[in-house]
Amino acid sequence: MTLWKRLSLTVLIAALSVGCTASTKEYSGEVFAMDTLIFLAAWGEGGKEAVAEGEQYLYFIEDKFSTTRSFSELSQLNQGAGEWQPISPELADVLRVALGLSEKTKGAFDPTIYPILTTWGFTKDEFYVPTQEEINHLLSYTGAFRIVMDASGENVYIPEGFQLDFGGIAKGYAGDQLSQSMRESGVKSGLLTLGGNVVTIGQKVDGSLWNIGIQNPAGGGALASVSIQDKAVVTSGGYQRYFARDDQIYGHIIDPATGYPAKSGLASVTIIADSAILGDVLSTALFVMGLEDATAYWQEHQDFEAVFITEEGDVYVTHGIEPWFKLATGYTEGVLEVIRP
Amino acid sequence: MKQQTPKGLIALVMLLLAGSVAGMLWMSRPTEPKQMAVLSVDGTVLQEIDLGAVTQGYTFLVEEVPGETNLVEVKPGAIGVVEANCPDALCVGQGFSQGTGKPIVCLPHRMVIDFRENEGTLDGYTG
Repeated sequence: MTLWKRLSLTVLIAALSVGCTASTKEYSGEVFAMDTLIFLAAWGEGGKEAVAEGEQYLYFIEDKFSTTRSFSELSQLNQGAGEWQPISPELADVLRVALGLSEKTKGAFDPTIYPILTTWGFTKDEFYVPTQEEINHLLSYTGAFRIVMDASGENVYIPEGFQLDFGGIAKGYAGDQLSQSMRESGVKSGLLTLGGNVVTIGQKVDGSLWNIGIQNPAGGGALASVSIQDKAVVTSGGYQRYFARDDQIYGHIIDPATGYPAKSGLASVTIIADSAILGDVLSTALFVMGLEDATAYWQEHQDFEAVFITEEGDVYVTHGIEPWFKLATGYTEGVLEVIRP
Repeated sequence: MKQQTPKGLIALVMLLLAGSVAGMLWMSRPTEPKQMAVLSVDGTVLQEIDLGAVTQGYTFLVEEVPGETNLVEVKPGAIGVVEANCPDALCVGQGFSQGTGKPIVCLPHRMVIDFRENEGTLDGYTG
């Protein structure tokens, strides 16, 4: 090859490189919705429109699923408890998954514990420790198995006194819907953060995996990270919202079986799954179960991976995520164990 | 007849290539990690603070919307909200952050203190 040809090739490669980087522009948005701060980011073609549509979609979903807005579809549904009522396709989608996973987790996830959550004060940050009598009374108004959807999925019956709450599932649903919509818009690389729910689309624009940090429940930044692509990562932990009363700490994750804040020995549960809705629900359910039952659940199903952090700071990771899991440098507060099938 | 390459042009191209390589090396040189805290209200960035460069602590009041206040304290290597007149004061409860991890958020006032790490590099954060 002559020198001229070599030079021409070099210039051509350089020109092509410039052409490639032109499609890697980042488009991002920030939305206050669903009682949290939501970040959307998309790179490349279709990104701008996808982010703008995503922002509008989040307001749409909030108007449907909010329990604090009296005009939302879910609030209206709760106000009409005791009668059969029609529901939108979106609400039907979420309710179907919520009821299915409630059964699958043997009630560790329950979308009907809202009356108990409200009494404890977690919905308005006006905290109160109910008596055992009050808890027993409230428990008689919970139980996802009492919610009935008709065969068409277009109508639902909520018993009188019951209230549905999608706080442990709606962000996951929104994450899945947003990521699907962004893919359909042509986005090949994207990152969504909905509170503790992180959803990734494809790989990063440089072709590497997304590196997602997992909060140390004891504070001070990330305890570990996982490298992923096309996955959702969702964390639930008692430390996220709690109050202290008479030397006791009361976390916001309620054990549906007892009506009290779950004390399972776990400080947080992180789920890595193909879908954010599964991650959202299971992070709560497995937190309630505790390490032993959660391990058994993973061994039985294995359609997700998990990272469990105990109150002592020990870290347990399921077999499938181990190669992609990395403890933060200098973390010495606990041991690291791998859970095998 | 064999085509001759002008020597001056070759020298110029070689010089440009050498310059590019030097530029790339300069861009990829190891730098001191920064702990950038970015404070915004309703999406508008108000301040960017390199927490690693702070030598003496100070406080400042954020009041973009009249009557909605958050008192922010900056210390060497850390930042937090120490007072707020929002209904839940969850932003105060989040304590001080060392410039890593999840953002400090005051939902009622739409105030966010987010962090940019230029080393180490987490793309997202769950927890």
